[in-house]
Amino acid sequence: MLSFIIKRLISGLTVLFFISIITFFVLRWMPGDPATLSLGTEGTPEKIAELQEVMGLNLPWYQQYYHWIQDLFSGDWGSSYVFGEDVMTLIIQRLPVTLLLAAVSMVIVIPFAFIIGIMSALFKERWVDYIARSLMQLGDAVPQFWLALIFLVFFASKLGWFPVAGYVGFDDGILASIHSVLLPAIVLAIGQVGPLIRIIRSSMLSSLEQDYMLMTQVNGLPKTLAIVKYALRGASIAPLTIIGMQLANMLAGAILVENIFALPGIGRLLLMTVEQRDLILLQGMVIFVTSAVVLVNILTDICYRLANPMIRFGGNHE
Amino acid sequence: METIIEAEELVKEYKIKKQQLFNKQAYFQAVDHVSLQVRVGQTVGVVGESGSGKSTLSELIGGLQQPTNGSIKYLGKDISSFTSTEYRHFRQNIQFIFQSPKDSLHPFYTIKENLMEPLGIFKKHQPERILLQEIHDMLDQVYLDESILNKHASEISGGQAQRVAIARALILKPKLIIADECVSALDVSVQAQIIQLLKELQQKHQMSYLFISHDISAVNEVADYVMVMKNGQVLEQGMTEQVLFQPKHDYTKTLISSSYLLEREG
Amino acid sequence: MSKLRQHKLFSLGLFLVLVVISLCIVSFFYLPQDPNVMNTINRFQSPSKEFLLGTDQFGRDILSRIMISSRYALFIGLVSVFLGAVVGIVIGALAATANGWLETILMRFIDGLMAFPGILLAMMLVAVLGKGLWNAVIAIAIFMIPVFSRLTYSLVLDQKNQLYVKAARSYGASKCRIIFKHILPMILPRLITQFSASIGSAILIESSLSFLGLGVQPPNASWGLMLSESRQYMLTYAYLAVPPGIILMITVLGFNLIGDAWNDSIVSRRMAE
Ligand SMILES: Nc1ncnc2c1ncn2[C@@H]1O[C@H](COP(=O)(O)OP(=O)(O)OP(=O)(O)O)[C@@H](O)[C@H]1O
Ligand SMILES: [Mg+2]
Repeated sequence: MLSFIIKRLISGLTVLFFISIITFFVLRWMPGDPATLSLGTEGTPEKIAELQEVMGLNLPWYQQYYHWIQDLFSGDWGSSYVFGEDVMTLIIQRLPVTLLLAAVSMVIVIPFAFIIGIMSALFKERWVDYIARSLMQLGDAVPQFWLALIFLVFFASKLGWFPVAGYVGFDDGILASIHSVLLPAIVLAIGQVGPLIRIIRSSMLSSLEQDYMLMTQVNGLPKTLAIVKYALRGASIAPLTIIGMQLANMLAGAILVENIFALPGIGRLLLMTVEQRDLILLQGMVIFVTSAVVLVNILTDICYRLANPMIRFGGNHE
Repeated sequence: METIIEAEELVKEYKIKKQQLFNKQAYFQAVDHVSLQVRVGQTVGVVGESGSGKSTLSELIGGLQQPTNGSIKYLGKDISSFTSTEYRHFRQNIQFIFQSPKDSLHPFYTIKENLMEPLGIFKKHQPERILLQEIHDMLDQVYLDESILNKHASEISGGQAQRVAIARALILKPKLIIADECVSALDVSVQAQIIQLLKELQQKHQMSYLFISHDISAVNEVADYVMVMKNGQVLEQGMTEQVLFQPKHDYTKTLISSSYLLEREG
Repeated sequence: MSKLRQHKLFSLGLFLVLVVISLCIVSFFYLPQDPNVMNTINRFQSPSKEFLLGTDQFGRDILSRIMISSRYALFIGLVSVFLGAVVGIVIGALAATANGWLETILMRFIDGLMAFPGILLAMMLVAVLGKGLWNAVIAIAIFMIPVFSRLTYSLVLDQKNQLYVKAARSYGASKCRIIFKHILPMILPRLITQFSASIGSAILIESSLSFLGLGVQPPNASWGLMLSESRQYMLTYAYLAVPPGIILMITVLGFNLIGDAWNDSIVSRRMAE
């Protein structure tokens, strides 16, 4: 177990290193240097040169990279030139909205995917299964931003069940807060449901195939018990799986959904950043989001190992 | 006589999968300090039970695997210090007949394309007509019909595949052929024909063979010199008559007695 | 899965894709109306004989704009996946044949790319390169690289252990020849499957980028852009939201179905062997 954790950490750290390299080079060696961009129309050659000096842009790249990493670790993520605020502060301000959105959508998607996934496995190649799989296909193909628009038009505007836009802070009560992100969370959940059903269905199928009790078609209580047993074991793992595998997807969805529903989260900040070409802020956000994805992946992998005895005792797959 | 291949103290260790990160890496010795020489025109036979390291040894000698230790010289020069021209020359003159001939053919290519591959690499300047003629001649020599040329590996029999593999190895007229169980899948009459062919070609082109087989009687017919392997080591070696008819080791005796060689000769 | 179902899904996918492709081809010869002509008298016309799908806030014919948009969708989808696939396949094949540190570096680099949530990488590149069609193509192509390199990597590793590869080495085939002449033909079916499935997601990303104002720029038309332009009028004129979304979904579904059915047929053929 310890060796697994260490291996996983090492490979995760290498990935993080490459992410930082990719981000660093994409944002630095592409057309338009940060100094010129941040000065915008006010950029006279002297001012640009001065700022380049201050930002250390004249140093060789490895020194720039080294300083940058050093700053990242010391918590100095630079400051945005659009908002004039510290990058870290900006991110932390917006984070709760996105987290709430993700959490609510997860609460919606997990039981739903779970029931459909298990039913679809139990009634394999029957109509329940076909319907489930058709839903998965549709779920994969439907553009999330379009779904968001349709829901907005129908549920918020026509039926008036939800606010059309905007976020209600925790100060006005947690329920009001949740209500304000409920519709976007549903949209986000629909985007996640397909892949999750697929995971649950296939792991349920392989469990069923392994168990000889079900193979021999014992009916009644033992069979039901066995199914419940698998379902429960699966239930303990499914949230981990979805967090681990779907986090990146969910964040991508959040970018679109937050912008449509005008939720002041990470996704909305990101779009503003891109539109304004605020490279320092963008760099910070990219590092933040990708590191989050990698770290959460490591954590869920480790928890998954702990939770699933099959893998733990199954020898070395690595 | 000139030596084609000379291997000294070859060792091949395979890593055994580690169970735990901090465990010491364990190794399995598939070939354990084996030395051997093949001279021009000579046939060296290698016999030994399954898993004794024969195939591994052959792949080390043919440069398909890196030895953990030891050196291999081709025409007096260490193969690890080859220039690219020398390496090309080496590859052209050492050809393999693999243990599972069917798997050694590309599944998507026709037999013709499979046979054309080595020619395309080493004789690309020659017109296709001449290369095709060479393929047809070769097929005649291994007693295969031309109709096989447009088939795929999955559509031919095991014995046919073995003869295609032999044809592919011979087609470049190499100096040394490493034949790993090259007659084992053939019935006795074809086997005799192929062995006859190998002998004729040896006469004609001064070829050498490293002839690996568990079939002691086949080894007896072709080999001048025999090595007996067990657990990666050479237990016994010498001229064929001496090793096969006056074996020193019990292991060799068991190998021989289980192969009906004595009865047939008897 | 049953052969019949596979076949049906494949045909459905093919049909959907053909619908979009013919829409695209027809758009070069015939459009019901000029897609870019703005005419304030015709604003917000609901569907009628003259404007089959109605008109938008500028009085432009929605059907014509949808047809024109299909060119961008298919073009960006095909070109970006092609570029991403070529680069990805080369990286994957290189990683699988190189050994030691180069392999590790390449694969960790790919993992790093993979950790970028879909559209984030594309947004980052657009921020740096600027908005526009070709930059969107490049961004989506880069996004496609990891999928193809991972797939190629595992497929090539698999093939590398096959005896026919060892045989090819034994008669002097170069690494390049082995990869391109021997291994590539073996893994091509799987790569083509992935190609088809990826076009669907590439078109989705294109439309998302355009929706966010980072992809195809006005006055050109793209399904995502159409939705974004008429967004503020949708609450009043709901019909504006429907056509671009439906056609987008049909396209993506079509390519996904083809890819899936293809993949299933390869898998079941493998199992039959
Ligand atoms: N790639 C490998 N990794 C680990 N161990 C291997 C590998 N190849 C072979 N071995 C081991 O090395 C030993 C020798 O194998 P080898 O194939 O050389 O035997 P052989 O004498 O050719 O047997 P056979 O007559 O069955 O062909 C075997 O115990 C085998 O398990
Ligand atoms: Mg062998």
